[in-house]
Formats: sequence, structure tokens, C-alpha cells
Amino acid sequence: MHEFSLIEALLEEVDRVLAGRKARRVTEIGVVCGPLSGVDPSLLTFAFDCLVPDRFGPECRLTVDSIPLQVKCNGCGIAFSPATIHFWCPSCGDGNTEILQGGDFLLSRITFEDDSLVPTASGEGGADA
Amino acid sequence: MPSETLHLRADVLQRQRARADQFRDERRREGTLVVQLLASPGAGKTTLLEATAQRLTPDETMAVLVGDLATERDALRLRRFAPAVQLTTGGACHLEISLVEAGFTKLPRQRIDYLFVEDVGNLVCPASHDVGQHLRVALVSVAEGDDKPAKYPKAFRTSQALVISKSDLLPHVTFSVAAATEDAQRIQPTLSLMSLSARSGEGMDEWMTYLRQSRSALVLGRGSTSGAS
Repeated sequence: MHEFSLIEALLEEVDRVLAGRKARRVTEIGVVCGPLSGVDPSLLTFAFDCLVPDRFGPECRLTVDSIPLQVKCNGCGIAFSPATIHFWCPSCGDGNTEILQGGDFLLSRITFEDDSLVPTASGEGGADA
Repeated sequence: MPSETLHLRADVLQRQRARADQFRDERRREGTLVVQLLASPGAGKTTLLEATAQRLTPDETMAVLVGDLATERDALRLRRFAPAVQLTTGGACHLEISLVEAGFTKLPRQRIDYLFVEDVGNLVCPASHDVGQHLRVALVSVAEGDDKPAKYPKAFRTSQALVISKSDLLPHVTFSVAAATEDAQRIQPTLSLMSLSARSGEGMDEWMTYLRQSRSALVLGRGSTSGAS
């Protein structure tokens, strides 16, 4: 798929999540993708390395968690991981299934340095309310 | 400087999905069934739409938004039969909701019973982009090989119907309709299956019935549309 435009969409989502926070520097962005997400992790990393240094600096890194496909049978309720393209329930044979994970491209983690995390008098950090 | 980590589960494409949901909902309220066609180049998308336009009754209307990297050839063909707007992507090999929304505003202001979105010829990327459709229909022509459903699982997983096109060529190719449909149904058991030839007319009645029943279900609020996962 279009890993460059995906990175743009990813950065928009990061901006949306961080809006209103005193994020000073984003150091890590974590994403999750699976076999039916349409995303290739190595191409995604390449696009990230091209685009993100100008946005968040060269220290910002991308972590990609590749997860397996998990499908739920709406007939008997069991969850299973299809090894191939077969989505029929291995337990009851029902074809009415839905994907639980592995079909989407998700933003899962943002690590950032936070101006509002000010050390207290005891030396421990604490976020503003 | 202290750092903080936020853990979340945000769909990166949620903004596009939200826009597509809005487009879908607005069309439903207007009585318009939005049908997206997905297929490899040359599978017969445009020809099927030409044949569809010629089979509408006098009180049925359709319009087409057709995506290509270059040329307006498909729109010019289709405009003989129905309002059509060409969405020229320049380089992108799939349509997105933003292009569909912009193209829709260029259609004449009149009732549209069936809005077809003919995606760029490609079984890969269009499968991951919601263009505001109620129905996603995947076309595979008998000249392409019956292994296409297995090779492009996401396209077929996210579709509501598989249409095997150019059936008039079956005597001249080694395509197995059974093999293609079995694979497709393993990926998405809820697929409606049809085999047709836009040129000979074989199977076209079934296709028209499928469209009409789908639109009735949408307008009357019965059944589910799109969003197959």
C-alpha cells in the first residue's frame, strides 16, 4: 500500500492525540499492523525514516508490532487464527466470521518528553492534572 | 527531561473512515445506493457499467465516478449512457473518499438511484480504502486466471459480491468458475456470486436483480451494507 501517505496519516493522528499536551519532543511512535492491514512493515519504516526526522527529529523512532490475524466465529463464539485464507470456523463450520485483529493499521504508543512533568520537592515526577 | 508514554489503539485511517461513513449516510438518506467496483485493469468494469445503464428502466437513474491515473476515456464512454465524472488520480493507484466527494459535487443535481464508483484497476490498494460505498463488488474476468481470489485476499474479504465477468470467453480459457468461487467463499463466505457477460447478456438479469434488491434493502433500512471486516 502507500506507506508514505500512511505515515502522513499517522503523524496527523499523533498530532491529534497530543493536542493540548505540552509534548516537547516525540521520541517513539508505536504502531500495530497485521496480515490484512495492507501495510508492509519494512516499507513503512523506510517511509518513516524519510519523513519523520523533519517533523520530530532524527531521534524519533518507529516501533512496528506485527500481530497475527485473529478471527471470531459469530456462530459459536470461538476465536481462531486462520493459517491460510480459510475463514470458515474450524469448530462449527460457520462462515459468519469477523476479524478481531490483524485487519487494521493502529497507532498504539506515543512516547514524548513532557514539559508538564515537573519534579516535586521529593524529587519524584508528577504530571499536571 | 521526564518522558511519558501514551498507550492507545487508534485507527490511523479513522478520519477517512469517518468521512466515508458520512458520505455513505448522506447517500442513503437520498435513496442512492453507492456501489464500488474493484478489479484488475481490463476485467470489464466500464463495459459492465455501460451494459447496466442500458438495462435500467426509464424511471431508474445512475451516475458514475470513474478513477484512472490518466485519460478521460472511461468517462467519455460512459457519458453516452449516464452522467459520469472522471477522477484522474495522476499517480495514485486507488481512489480515496476526498476524490469521491469532490467528484460527486460535479454530477448534475438530480436523483441518483445507483452511484457507481469505478475504482482504478487494481486488486491491492482499493481494498484498504473506504470510498463511501454501500456495496463493494469485486470483478474477476475469466481471462485472468481463477487464482485471483486467493492471491488478493483483502479485496475479496472486504467485498459483498464477486462477479465473474466475460463468461462468454469460458470455452476459450482454462478458468474454473468453481475453483475461483470456492477460494473466494473461503475468504468471505457471505459473498454473493454471479457470472456474466456484459457483451452477450448472459447473467445480466441476475446482476440487475442484485442491484435492485440491494437498493431496496438500503432504502427500506433492511440488512447491512458495507464495512465487511
